Amino acid sequence: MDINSVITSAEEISTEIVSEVSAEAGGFIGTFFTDFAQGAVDFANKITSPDPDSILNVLEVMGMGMLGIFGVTGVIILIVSLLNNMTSKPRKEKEDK
Amino acid sequence: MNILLQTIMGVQIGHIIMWAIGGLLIYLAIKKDMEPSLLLPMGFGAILVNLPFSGAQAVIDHIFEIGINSHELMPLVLFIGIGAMIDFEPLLTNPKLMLFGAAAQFGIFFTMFLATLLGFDIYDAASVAIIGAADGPTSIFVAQTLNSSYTAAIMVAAYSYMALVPIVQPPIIKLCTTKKERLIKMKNTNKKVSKTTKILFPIIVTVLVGLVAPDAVALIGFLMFGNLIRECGVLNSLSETAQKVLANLITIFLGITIASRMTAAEFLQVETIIIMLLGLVAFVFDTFGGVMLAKFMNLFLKEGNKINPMIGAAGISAFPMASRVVNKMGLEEDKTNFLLMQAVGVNVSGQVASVIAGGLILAFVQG
Repeated sequence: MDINSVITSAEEISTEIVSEVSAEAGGFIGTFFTDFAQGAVDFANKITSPDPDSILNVLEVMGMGMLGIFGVTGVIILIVSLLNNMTSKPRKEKEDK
Repeated sequence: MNILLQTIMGVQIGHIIMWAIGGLLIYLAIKKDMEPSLLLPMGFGAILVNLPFSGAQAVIDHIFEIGINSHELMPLVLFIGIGAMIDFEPLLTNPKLMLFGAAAQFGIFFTMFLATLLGFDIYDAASVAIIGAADGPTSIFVAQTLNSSYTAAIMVAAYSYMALVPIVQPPIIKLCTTKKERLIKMKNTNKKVSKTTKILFPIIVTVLVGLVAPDAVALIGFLMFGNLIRECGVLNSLSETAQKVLANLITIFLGITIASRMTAAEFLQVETIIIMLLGLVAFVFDTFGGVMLAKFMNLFLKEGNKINPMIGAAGISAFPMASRVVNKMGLEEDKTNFLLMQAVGVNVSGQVASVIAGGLILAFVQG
């Protein structure tokens, strides 16, 4: 029995239970549980069939993103250090004060 | 009579669950003092929009349209206030601390990967991952720009975990560090930063980030504009207004407006639970990233110059909670070990780094 058939049977069972409960409770419950169960089944389907292209794409974004952050940060550190050196008062002036 | 009954009969179980969630947010805000300025309006708003045939929905939808959906106006204006509140001096005296802010964005990218594995498309994965920016306006900005259908869940997760930083971070920090590392004392630098540096910093950062990630220029620009108002020294009245009146005004509307997306139909989905869990993962791996970089750097530093790795955890932008947590943990280990100055420096760098991360994500994902 493969994962898809398990999901399909789970979906059928959950739909059956939910429709019975809904019929009992009428409008108060409405389609809440049916929709939620359907959402869970759809989500399980998505997890079991990840898209390899998306994963490769996101790995690239992950690498480039971390590299980008460290790159920009490095430049900011460099500029701030330069600014600090350029704008700090010379030692002699400090001593005079 | 019929009209009254029609409304009461219109109550669905989804509405009741959302009232309970709204009540929980209000409870956390009032009783536990968790981000009350946002969780309280969000909680009340959640109740407001989940009343059957709610007349408030249209008004709040309208504010959402103007304030958030159309060019993310409210989060951006809030950033002016946040920028005016931040003192970058601890960072400017020791700019190397910025590296920890960068490392602490690891959780964002790791979560993005995880969310993709869980079947979210790349836009939603990026929007969910940005919870790890630990920064409400950035989260809203990115999620809205990428047109995510989970903005409300992302907002609730972002602000809840920001409030939960004192609970989430300590166990992770302890797990990643040894007692010996936690006892490391760091030298306090008594350097002074010139006014010129303080004024030039926001301008330079805006230009630099704008060149690298143009999509983030609004975010970084408004943040740094607020900071420039603060540091220029000639706009004290505007700076005070931005810090208090402006920030408070936007915060009131932001919380209740976000709640417009908290209708039962939109919020009560399996994905909301997954998003809450992914948000936690993002915060955990942010903390991990910051601490591990400090540990790595210590491999190359001489005794006496070593970094207390706990300060790396302050690199998430939840300001000032993260720096307070680190300082408190330092004092718990040794009552004479004050890490607040360094932790605050790392913390404000996390604020800048999270915006850069948001901009880079937008740039890469939107292509």
